[in-house]
Amino acid sequence: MSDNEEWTINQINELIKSQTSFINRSLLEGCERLVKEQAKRNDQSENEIDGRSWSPEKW
Amino acid sequence: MKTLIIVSHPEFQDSITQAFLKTSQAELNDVTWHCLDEIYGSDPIDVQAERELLNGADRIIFQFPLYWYSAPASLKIWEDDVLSRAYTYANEEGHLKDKEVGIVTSVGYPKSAFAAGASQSFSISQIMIPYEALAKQAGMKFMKPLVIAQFGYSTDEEKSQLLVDYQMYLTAKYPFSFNERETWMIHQLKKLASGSMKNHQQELDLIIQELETGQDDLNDLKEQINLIRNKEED
Repeated sequence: MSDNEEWTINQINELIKSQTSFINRSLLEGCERLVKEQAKRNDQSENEIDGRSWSPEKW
Repeated sequence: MKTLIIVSHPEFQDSITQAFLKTSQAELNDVTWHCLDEIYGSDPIDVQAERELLNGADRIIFQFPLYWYSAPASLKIWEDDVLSRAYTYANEEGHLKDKEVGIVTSVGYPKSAFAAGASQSFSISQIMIPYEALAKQAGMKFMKPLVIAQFGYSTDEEKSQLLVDYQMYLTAKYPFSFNERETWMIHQLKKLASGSMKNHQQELDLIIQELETGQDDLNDLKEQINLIRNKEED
């Protein structure tokens, strides 16, 4: 987990704790899932670029 | 975008699923909750009033518990009365043409039961074919149904996820690509920041900024990957 992702998740969790409304908490939990998925997709995309750029076929 | 939810449920007052969904959509703008059994009971349907509601909507949702692999009787009566051939057919008056139609259905079995070889034998896509056929005839865009399985057994976490999925189903741009889900969530956070969570506006703004940066980064990466792929194909 990157520093940015960790910081964002912590911020969201702090906000979830502060909310009594189920709707607000649900949206924030949805946001947390989205941040994690976004980070995963960013990692996968970076890895794909690395993989394709370093293809031995191009050496 | 305006969304009309047509609810069909003979015991709507006692349904915990419908109560949950009603609360989940209550604060959304441009969403109309329209429960047929509550409005009409055993009275005849006001066809003109129903058509006016339909004409004003961009997305129409049929929402019902699955009774014998179909909707309860009130929705079928509504369809037979309101959706006359001339009003509905895309190649006649075509009043519903280019609108979107979605299904929100609750079932008493796990989702995995709706498959060939499983206890219910047929998939939800197969069971929903009459609605898909209707959509096709009317020139409407049919949305992938949102299935709520065994709501009574749901954990708080599952209910929390259902609330977000349901709100998105009602208001996000279809199809729900990841980019669209990001944009939708950013919009919801902005609404919270200027509404019921105004006292946390600063924290929310920073989260929004992070989400927007992540979205831009991901779109840039996708573009780079496409460029590389295209070069590889040359």
